[in-house]
Amino acid sequence: MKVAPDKTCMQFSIRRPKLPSSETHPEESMYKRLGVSAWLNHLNELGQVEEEYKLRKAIFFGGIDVSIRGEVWPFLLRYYSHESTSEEREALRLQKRKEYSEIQQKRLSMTPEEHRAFWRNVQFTVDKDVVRTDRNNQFFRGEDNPNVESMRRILLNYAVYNPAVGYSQGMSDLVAPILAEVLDESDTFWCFVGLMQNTIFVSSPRDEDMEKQLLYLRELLRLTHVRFYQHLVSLGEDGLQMLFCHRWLLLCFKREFPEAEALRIWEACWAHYQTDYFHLFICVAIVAIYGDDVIEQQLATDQMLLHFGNLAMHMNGELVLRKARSLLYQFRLLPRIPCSLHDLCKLCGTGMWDSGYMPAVECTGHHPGSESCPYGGTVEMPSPKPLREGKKGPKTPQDGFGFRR
Amino acid sequence: MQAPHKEHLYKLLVIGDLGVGKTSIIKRYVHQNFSSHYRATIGVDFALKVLHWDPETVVRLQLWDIAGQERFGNMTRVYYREAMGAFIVFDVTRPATFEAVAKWKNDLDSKLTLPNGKPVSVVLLANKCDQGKDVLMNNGLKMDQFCKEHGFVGWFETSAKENINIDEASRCLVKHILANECDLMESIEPDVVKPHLTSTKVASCSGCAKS
Repeated sequence: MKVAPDKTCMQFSIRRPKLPSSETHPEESMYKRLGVSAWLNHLNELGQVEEEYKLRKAIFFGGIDVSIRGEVWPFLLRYYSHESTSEEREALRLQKRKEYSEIQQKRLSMTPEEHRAFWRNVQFTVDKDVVRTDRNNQFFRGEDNPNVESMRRILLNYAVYNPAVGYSQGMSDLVAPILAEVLDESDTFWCFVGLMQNTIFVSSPRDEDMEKQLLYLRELLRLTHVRFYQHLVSLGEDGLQMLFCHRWLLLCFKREFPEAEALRIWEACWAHYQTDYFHLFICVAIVAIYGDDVIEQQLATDQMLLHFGNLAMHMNGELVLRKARSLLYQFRLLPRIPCSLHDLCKLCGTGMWDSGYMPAVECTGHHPGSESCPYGGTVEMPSPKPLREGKKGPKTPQDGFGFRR
Repeated sequence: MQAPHKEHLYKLLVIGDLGVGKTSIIKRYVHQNFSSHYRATIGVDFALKVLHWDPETVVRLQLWDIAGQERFGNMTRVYYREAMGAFIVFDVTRPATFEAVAKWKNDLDSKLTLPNGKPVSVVLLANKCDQGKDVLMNNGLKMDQFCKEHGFVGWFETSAKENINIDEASRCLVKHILANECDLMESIEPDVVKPHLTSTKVASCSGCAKS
């Protein structure tokens, strides 16, 4: 029996196409990276953020310079409110530090019985994970690095603070970059609390949240990338589970891109500009840019997983971001959206559909337990499920919703 | 043109509690290297390994590395689908991971069977045997008994770090899968059997003869 490692790999061509200008957001090149002076311009003399929306928009397009991430991220993660003054923030930090140490005290004063359960359910896994999280990052490098210990305490204390969530694998991946930028342990903890409130991260074993994300993503693909969607449909239930993107969602692309690019993507998502679901537009962008082979070669579920797995760390994050912004822009221009994606644009109030424009909501059916569409969607389509039947009538949803390609 | 080859493609699962070394075993087996700092697997990864089983037979293995912390109750069902065999791994230095072995085996058997309804072949790996703390391993007979009771086709003391017994364990599993495939061929019409995830050629029965 001989082993031929050379032949264990399938061949993939990693294409790095450029986006045609018709596929970029019209405001794409208007924003530079947010640097110190631009950041200070957003603050008034009391240290309040003058126009939060403008700031978030600037970050969405341009990102934040590394030198001020530690200062700006706490705003994005809703630890600091935008209205707070510098003075109030200092007071908040003190108060929160006290609160943090109380949480830690609570953890350290568990009864032996409580501690056994905590060790089994949380601490054991945290201990396993912190020593294998971002150890290549200078900040966490080396034996007995005190920052690893900080990360460990933050995660343990979080599980005490929020026992319903506790600890799930992957949380260490999310907290590590925040600690490396924010530096202070208590501040990082509270930033992480904010992050967890806004991530799709879910505690095991039930995961309605993940299902919801996948549902939205499927719908978004159906709207924006019909060919890919149809390929998934042709693979049946397994294809629609989209195994290839679970890690994308759970770790917010952290392992798909080199850190600098991944953090740019985080910032763009955290900006909550026009949508809370920008990460889904990132998913679609990856599929749009790197998924042609999947369709052309009719890759099966497992091959798709391999295809996208092999692309990890070889994709162009800036290109993906640009494409995702353009997808969001095009989504806004749709005359009609299906009610299944109604929640994708909860931020319509300020931004999603400013100037009072609202697209029509069309009901795509399937509202168990409710006679009418809870989103007020109207039924204009001939059938709620024309796609599955594969018949291309003149008014199938993809004709109505489809993006100009 | 080469002489006609028999090609098999098998999906194998690698499961077990977190931190027992599943990823390390796969990296050692496929890439011949080791690091003590592999990141926690989130969701599922997989790697490919090609075995030249004998002059006429090529076996391609798809090793599915499944996160140790169960996150999605339903999702594991999807991960398990169409697998032909599995390794269940525990860490000899941590008795709790051995206690979880039966749980993993039950979970697997409840979610996955061969087309003929039989459970898939599973090999038990007692990993990190290089650590010199193999309290459980002192009694090989006990392990044999355990495997018999729980339906494992075999067990191996392994070390991903020192590259001990991983090739052997894999060969054992593949041997049983090939033999199983013979049974499947006999019991069901050939065109109904789909042992391959992506069928290359319909395999003729060879595993039994080889085993």
